[in-house]
Amino acid sequence: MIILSEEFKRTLKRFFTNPSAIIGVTILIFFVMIAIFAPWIAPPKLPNNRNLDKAQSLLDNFTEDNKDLIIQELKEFWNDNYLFAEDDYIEMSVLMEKIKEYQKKQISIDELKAYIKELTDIYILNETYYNKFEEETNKVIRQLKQEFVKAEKKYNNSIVYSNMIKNLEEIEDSEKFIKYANNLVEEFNKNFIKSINFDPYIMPNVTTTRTPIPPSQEHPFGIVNQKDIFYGVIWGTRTAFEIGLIVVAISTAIGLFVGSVAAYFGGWLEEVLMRITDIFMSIPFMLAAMVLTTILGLGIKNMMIALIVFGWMVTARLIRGNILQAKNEQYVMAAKALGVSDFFVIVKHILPNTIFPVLINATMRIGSMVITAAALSFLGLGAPQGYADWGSILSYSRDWIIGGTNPTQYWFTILYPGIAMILFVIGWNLLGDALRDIFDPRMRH
Amino acid sequence: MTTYIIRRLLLLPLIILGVTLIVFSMSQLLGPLKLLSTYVDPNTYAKMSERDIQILMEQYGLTDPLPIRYGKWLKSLFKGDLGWSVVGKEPVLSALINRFPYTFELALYALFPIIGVGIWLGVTAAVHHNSFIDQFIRIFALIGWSLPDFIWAILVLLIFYVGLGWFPPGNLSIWADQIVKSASFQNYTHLLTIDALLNGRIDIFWDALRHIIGPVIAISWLWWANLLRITRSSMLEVLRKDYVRTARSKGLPEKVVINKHARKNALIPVVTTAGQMVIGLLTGVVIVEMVFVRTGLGSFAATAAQQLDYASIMGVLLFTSLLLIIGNLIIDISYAIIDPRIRLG
Repeated sequence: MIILSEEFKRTLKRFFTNPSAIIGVTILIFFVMIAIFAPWIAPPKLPNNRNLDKAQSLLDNFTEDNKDLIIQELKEFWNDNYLFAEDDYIEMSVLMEKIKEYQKKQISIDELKAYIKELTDIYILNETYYNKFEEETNKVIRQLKQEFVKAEKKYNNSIVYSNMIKNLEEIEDSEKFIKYANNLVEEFNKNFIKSINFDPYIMPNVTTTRTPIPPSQEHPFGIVNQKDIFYGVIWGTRTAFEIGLIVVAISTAIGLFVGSVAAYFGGWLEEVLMRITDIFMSIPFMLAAMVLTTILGLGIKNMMIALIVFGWMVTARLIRGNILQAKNEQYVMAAKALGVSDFFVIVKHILPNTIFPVLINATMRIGSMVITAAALSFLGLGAPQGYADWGSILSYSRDWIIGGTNPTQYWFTILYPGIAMILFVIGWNLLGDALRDIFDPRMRH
Repeated sequence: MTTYIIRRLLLLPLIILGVTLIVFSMSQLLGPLKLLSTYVDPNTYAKMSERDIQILMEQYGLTDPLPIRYGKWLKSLFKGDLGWSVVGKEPVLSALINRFPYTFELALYALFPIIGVGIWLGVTAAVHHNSFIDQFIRIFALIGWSLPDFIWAILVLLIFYVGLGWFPPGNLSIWADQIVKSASFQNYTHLLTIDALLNGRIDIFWDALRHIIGPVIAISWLWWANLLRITRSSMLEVLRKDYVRTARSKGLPEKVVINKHARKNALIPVVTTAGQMVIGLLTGVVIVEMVFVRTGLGSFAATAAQQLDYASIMGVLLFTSLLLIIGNLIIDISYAIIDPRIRLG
């Protein structure tokens, strides 16, 4: 163990005296920081309410004259959001009764369906419940029960809040009033925002015009297709890490498994596994990933599946070659002669001595996987519309630069996401390069 | 060596069969209903009743068990029937054959600058190992290697077309396109530049060349990076070999040592990379073709994928896989002939 730690120390020293390793690691740490602190660097714009915002600002600069205005804003908010809560609740409880009757076979499915239709017509229920009812009856009934719980909660809240607003009107003392009103605004905000399904990875629309808007104080990287580029670049860092790390980790694991099994057991198993590897390698990677993504349907997840399915072969070949070499080493023969089990020999003796080239290869592949994923998004085959992803933003910019009348005026649409992407890939490539220099025995002298 | 070549040739049908199996399995992920929509015109499909759909599914054998369907599909493949391409508005096979010359021509023109400059840069870097030139070339390679092709292609278009107006996108200018499509223009090879010369139309030749230079620049940097890295490391290894030291100690001039003794041997591994590059150029220039709005296999595949034209993308995948398989076979065999050490593998 002492020898190992000496070796480890020397390796670390080599690593930290290698300039490209230092630059690469610095760049990557920078991106990791951005990914971790994304919610603080580019806070997602939670959906807000005009009435609440106004009430809040009036409260912040409270004067006695404002009192009525504040109450009025809060009342308006209540009207917008809770006015029909009671009606909805009553209708929904009738629906629950009908469902119970249907489950006891007292009414037919058509009667139940007709009532759902009534509710969708007055916009209490979403239309999909009616459309999907016959196909997936049980699933829809389960969802309807959840809707009922929601409606019930909303109704209960509505009573509480309307009482609170009434109480507010009666409070004379201004300090008490501020405290009480603030509390109410906070409650409203909490319930209003929490009830909306919010995804920070979807870039919000920040303007109404589609034309790109140059960088400004508020949007430092400018705006393209109504999306804030700064927001997209910051949150896109997370997407890039997600794609790169997950795809490379899983495909490397598959390759390790296939390659090590083939090399260790040999014989017909090796022949079969390596011919399968050959077959997968005989399909052009980019086109294969493109076709599989198209077939599975657009989306980050499907794109990652496609990249994994066609991305494991290099690792398999690499580890097989290394193991075949290691198999003839004396320490492995000794372990086998001692009767150590096959699995144990692979995990304990062979893998640790052959894994470094695989890890180096994996590090280098992260960059190229991110490029391929971005290329797919660029062609409109990867990330869905509006997803925070560097490739998507660059595909917006292509439309303006190639199709626009005066393309150079839209430089910012390509510059910032492009630089982020190139730096990210350079970081991984530098790291991989440095690791290869450090671990490659031929480079040691 | 003969056994090696025979073994490779025997494996060839197996690999091709395996590729068809993968492509078939991928198409089966679509499910029978979407598969049917690849056979039927979308407008008529929308009007069909469920009973009609059922009858059609039986007619096209979509209700058969999987192995039978695979057999039928293979049979139609051998007949050259790859289905109907919605994007190309013609059978998939003829769409592929019509587009292949464009990609081939682009690859042909890209090849010379890439190989020439790439090897030159690699050798220069190795000879001036760890000097300023070496570091500069390494940084050049690193940037080229890390630069996503779509960003670089857009930049090339921006500089050389929008900025300088030299190399426009597309295949040909409109006037030239009209002449090429007219009856008086003979298509001998289907390669625009060569056909233009054979027809004696220098103006069309220049026009076609002008359109091809932009994409060639866009492709080159990415491949230079790759090629020069391989050349550099291979050259460095050879320069450490004993016979190079012997040549130097004999008092041979450095130029002779490098050109006559080192470079020849260093280029053996480069042959594989160069071969793979040719295959890569033929099968994977999707982005560059899309950005430069060129006709070709890559842009055909991307457009078909965007419009969910499943028959076309399957066809492209099969066609390019076949190119890849045959290309790799040629590389491996020629490699075995060049380098005696490989023959046993």
